[in-house]
Amino acid sequence: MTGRSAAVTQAGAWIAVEGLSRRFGRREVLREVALELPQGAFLLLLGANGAGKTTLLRILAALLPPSSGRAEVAGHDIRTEPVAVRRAVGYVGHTPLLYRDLTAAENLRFYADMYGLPDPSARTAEMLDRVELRRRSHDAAGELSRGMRQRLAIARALLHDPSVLLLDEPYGGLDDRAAAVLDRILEEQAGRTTVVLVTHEPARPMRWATAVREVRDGRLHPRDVHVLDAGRR
Amino acid sequence: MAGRQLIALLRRDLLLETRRLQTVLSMVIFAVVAMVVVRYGWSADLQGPSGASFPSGDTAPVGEAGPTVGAVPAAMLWVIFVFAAMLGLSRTFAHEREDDCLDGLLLCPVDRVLVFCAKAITNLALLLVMQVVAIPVFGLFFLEGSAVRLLVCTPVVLLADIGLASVGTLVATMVLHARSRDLVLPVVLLPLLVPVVIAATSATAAIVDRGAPLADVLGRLGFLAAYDAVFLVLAWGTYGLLMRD
Repeated sequence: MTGRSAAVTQAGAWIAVEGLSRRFGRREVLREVALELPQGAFLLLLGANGAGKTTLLRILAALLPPSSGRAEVAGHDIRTEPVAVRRAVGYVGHTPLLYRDLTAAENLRFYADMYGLPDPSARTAEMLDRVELRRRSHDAAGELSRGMRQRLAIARALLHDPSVLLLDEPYGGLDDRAAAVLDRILEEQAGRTTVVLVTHEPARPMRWATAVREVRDGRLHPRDVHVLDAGRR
Repeated sequence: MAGRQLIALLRRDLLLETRRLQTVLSMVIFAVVAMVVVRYGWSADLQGPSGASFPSGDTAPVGEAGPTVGAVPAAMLWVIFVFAAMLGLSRTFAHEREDDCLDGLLLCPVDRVLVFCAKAITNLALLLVMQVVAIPVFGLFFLEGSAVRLLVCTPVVLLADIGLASVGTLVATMVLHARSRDLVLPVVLLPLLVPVVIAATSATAAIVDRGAPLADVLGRLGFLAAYDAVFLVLAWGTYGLLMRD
């Protein structure tokens, strides 16, 4: 990849975070966070509500600048190359980031154009097929169920084939079918896309996890995978 | 790619607006109702510079006193336009807020200036749609026989609208994250629009009332063009910073 910084190249990390802190007013949400993930890694990020998981994800997506420290995503510094970072990242947040008055197809077509994809119509149709929403492509996003909107949000995030996928509680509120679609997509992405998945229910995505961390007191702590495995069984 | 992104942004804004028609309808209704109120509730007190009163039923010398617009109705016209514009400008980022799509937009690898251009062009289009309805109503109510002179005002309207749309979009972005943005927007925006209103009012009055040719109001047109240029350059230079979290 062109433009990769020396630091990331040397470390071989696809996501590299060092001494990262973020304050909101006096409150320090993240403190001296350090993280290194190789390409294709699958990180489960756990933690209580308000622990700073979403803040870390938003910083990695170049949606929020850190107060101090540095982070590189896909070889690009989030401060100096935010556009390149955004091009490399697919992000699913708490809300689907879809226009409720546009149809499912119009929403994806809009984002396909914004990412400059070569054949936006074909890519839109392909992604609608992938999340099993082809039959609802002409329905307004606001008329879709919560699970369908979440599937559409995942299609939006994957539209430009990102090398990094940041998912903030993607299983939240999903029915079995929607969860199964998400399982299938994560199965396909695991190993070829670097994934950071924030969740309160680690059992389901544990099968793909290559690392597990917990955000506590604004810091990242290793989490015992065996305990989680035992819980899953 | 920038051209394609700009077209995509414009198409999205226009699709969203045409699906609901909330903004443009509220602007049109406000402008027309305000003119009706002035026409039938206040017209007897309005005097043109030649002393002819505005047409008000059987006491008005409709179409006989020649041009009947003075500075007051021209100012009224532009004040109505500014407040109608405010209705649209306050909804500049309404869809991004309602649907929580601002993050989606910020995630896209798009030059923020293109977002400004799309929003400003959309606001300009909404203004023009409102004026296509409101200006004939103004002509019908206040000019009657000389309404055709309003056509000469087209460059004034276009230049003033570009100013309204560009400054309005800039300020709407500045207050995007403010809690009381609906209150803050007019407080910040209206003082900035005073020069536009004064220049547009005097140019409109000169053209429609005195029948002055465009050449006679070139100074005011030049002022409006300079105002537009200043704020467009300002937006170009600062919009990336304004759109950051």
